[in-house]
Amino acid sequence: MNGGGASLSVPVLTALVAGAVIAGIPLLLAALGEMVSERAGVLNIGLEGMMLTGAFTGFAATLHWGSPWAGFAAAAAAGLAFGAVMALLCVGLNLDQVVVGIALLVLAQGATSVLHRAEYGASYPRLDAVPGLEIPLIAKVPVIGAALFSQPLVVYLAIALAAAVGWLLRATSLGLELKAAGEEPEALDAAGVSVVATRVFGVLVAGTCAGLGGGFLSIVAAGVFVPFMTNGTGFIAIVIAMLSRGRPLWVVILALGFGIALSLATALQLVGVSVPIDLLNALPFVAVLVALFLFGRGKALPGALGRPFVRGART
Amino acid sequence: MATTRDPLLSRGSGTAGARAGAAAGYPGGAQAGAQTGDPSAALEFCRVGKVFPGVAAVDDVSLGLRYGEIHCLLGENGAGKTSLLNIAAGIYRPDAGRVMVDGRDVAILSPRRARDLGVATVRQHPALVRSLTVVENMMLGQRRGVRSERRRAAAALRAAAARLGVELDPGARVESLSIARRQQVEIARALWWDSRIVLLDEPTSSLAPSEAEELGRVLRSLCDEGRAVLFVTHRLEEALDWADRVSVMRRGRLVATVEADDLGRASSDAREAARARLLRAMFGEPRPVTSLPDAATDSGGQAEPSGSADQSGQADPGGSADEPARGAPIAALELRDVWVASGVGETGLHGVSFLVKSGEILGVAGVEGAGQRELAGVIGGQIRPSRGDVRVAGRSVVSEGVSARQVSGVSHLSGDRLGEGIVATLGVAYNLLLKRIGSPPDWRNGFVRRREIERTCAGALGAFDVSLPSPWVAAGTLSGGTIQKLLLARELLGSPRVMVFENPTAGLDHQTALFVRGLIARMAARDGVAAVVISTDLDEVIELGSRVLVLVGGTVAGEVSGGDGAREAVSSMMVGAA
Repeated sequence: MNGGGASLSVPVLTALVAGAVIAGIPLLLAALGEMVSERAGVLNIGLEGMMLTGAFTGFAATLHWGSPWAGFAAAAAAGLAFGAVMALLCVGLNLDQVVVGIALLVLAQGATSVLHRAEYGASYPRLDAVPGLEIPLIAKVPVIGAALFSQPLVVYLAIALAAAVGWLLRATSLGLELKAAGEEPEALDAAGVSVVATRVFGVLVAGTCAGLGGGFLSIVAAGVFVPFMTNGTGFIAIVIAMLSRGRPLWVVILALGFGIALSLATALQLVGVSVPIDLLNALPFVAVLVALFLFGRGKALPGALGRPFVRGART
Repeated sequence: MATTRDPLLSRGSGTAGARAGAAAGYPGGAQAGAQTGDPSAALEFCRVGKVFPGVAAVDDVSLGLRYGEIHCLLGENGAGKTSLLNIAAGIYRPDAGRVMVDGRDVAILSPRRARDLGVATVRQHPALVRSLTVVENMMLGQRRGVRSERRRAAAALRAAAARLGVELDPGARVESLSIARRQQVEIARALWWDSRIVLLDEPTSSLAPSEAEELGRVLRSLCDEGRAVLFVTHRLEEALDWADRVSVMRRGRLVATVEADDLGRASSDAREAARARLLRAMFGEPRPVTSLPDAATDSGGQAEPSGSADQSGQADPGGSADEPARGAPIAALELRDVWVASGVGETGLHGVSFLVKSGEILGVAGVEGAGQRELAGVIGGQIRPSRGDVRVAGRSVVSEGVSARQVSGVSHLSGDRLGEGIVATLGVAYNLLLKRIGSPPDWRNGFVRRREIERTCAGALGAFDVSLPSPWVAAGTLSGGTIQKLLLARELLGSPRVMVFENPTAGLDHQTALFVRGLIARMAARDGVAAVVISTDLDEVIELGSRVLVLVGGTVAGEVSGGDGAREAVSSMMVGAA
């Protein structure tokens, strides 16, 4: 730990914050979707698998069409399709959400690995870096400016999406219905709203957002697809969704917080601190435990989370 | 607002046939008049049937509901009233028959469809989202655009509440409201939806008397607006007080419909006659208490001959239960200075001592939460006292757990029927044998013997007058009364010498309650069981107990022996006036 304090120079700080944003955006997107899904009462354990699918599809589409926007569209579509499968199994057929989630995760891991080896196993192609969009004036502010305001456009769109989800949950009738579907689906059904449709919407949102998050990972953050590249991000997103309890602002804060933990490894290497890399890689998950310990207690999850709804069911 | 319908359509005629059939009080001929397309019928069930795995919950029921009337559907637990209601509410699909709304044959496949047809339902446990506010609950399903329209909903809520003559705070969270208020929210919502037909399932089961009165007024105002009101209850007095017509269901069938003129509003004599008639319809011919089953010997006798020998040795021929004199036969159950620490929301016990002899019933009275649960737990073995001794037949059992105590002859009928009592998803047979899974003759070498189990089950339940399609139906699908009978049969299987009953008849209908009380009395008188009846139902405690112990704040405030004036003495002690 030689001279750590002195080495926290402007370039290092900038790299740390910029890295945190880049690492935090996939978390942000996936957690937003998961939050909507959990609100509606469906726990999506397969979130990681949906991210991985989005990452692969986004990478392949960007490579094929040469445009990151095509990649994002493909990633979202892949996530949506995956969400549709989950909705069919968990909401349509009332299968156990945890079991289905795990099955879909393993399926996604296997399928993306196989496809990756078949298509790109020999060449290992890379994508061009996505250009940043400098916001005039504030992009010149030291550290913050370079780190926060010269990011690719999609970063700003992701944060706008968080605001949009917040509005959806707070101010629309759909938001109310989502909450009712997760808390007391019987009451929603009695009010004449389809619990199935509401929950399917939640699952599809989760799938789409997770696909986008995965796409960001491969198209913007890494520029390459590697099997298992999500590396636990989906699970951290589930924790973020649980901790933030329907408040997108908290999703943004927590995602960036975990982003810092994820990008710390790079920053510390820049500084030249020699900490074993495995220990640094474990840092985000230690952060998860700490966050759960600090904020997770006394948090009530939606009353009907994980419980299939069957009209008129007798216990 | 739709005012196309005539508010107070003339009360339908053409029910003479129904009336004649009803008077006889028999199934079958009663409904002939009700199903022939009554033009003023708002909602009509035509020969509706609904079968649950093996049980005909609703069996060939025809019933017409008119605008501007309050119609009461009366019947004991498990008579099929709620199932019938749920068919109109779009929760269940009927297996047979048709449902008509305004004379049109409609398939009510979902609550949404019911709502669109103008049918609103107020359930026993109001279907509201507890974590949302009142106005947010009103807004559910009221989608006019993307944005939720809080202000419009709040105004509608206030208007509806004013029409009902109740006060509702739009911003209050539903979880902070009483059941009565939640019902009012649902009724207000029905007004906002402009539902012309309002169905209520056991609306008074959780209400205080004053709240029930208020509900009665609200129902009358709905009906005065020309709406049709159908409410389900097992309480006879409400039926007589509120309804314009009363239909009675028994075992899934409609057995009688009594018209307004025959409800005895005119004189108290007529009312008495109406009451008797409805009772007869509800329960069939009264069942004399003396013909109660020989349950204890029928079921448990063959299993443990040693147990019954023990009992006869214990039986106390004399009736002098009042004085536990020294030298007399050892008390079957004795508590000596028992202490249980009080915890969060628990009163604990503070130095409780008493004796119960064989064949004696000790009543324990007290307001809710005076230490009843702790007392039952201490005797049953779930709670270990911090100090003091529990003795059964002179032997200390205080260190024994639940199962060891059962071997010692102590049995506990839990007040938490669904939670502690049964495993809802297991079959009746397994629930019955829950406390001796793995033991012969029903199990041999660890293998289940279904034949044997079925035989044991039939033997144990035979005396209890329960009709089951098979011993393997899930216990959770049974009605409350049937579950209680199942639990009693289970406890009797063990041939207990000491039994603790915790609110044994709470939530049961009249007939089942009578049955259970008779059984307790019989167990004590004939089999020499020492019984402790802990109940918040004062009359039950006094009726059954030869002595009544009054618990106040975890201590014994006093003891009253039965007879005249016991009720006053006990009730004043309960509230600490003595």
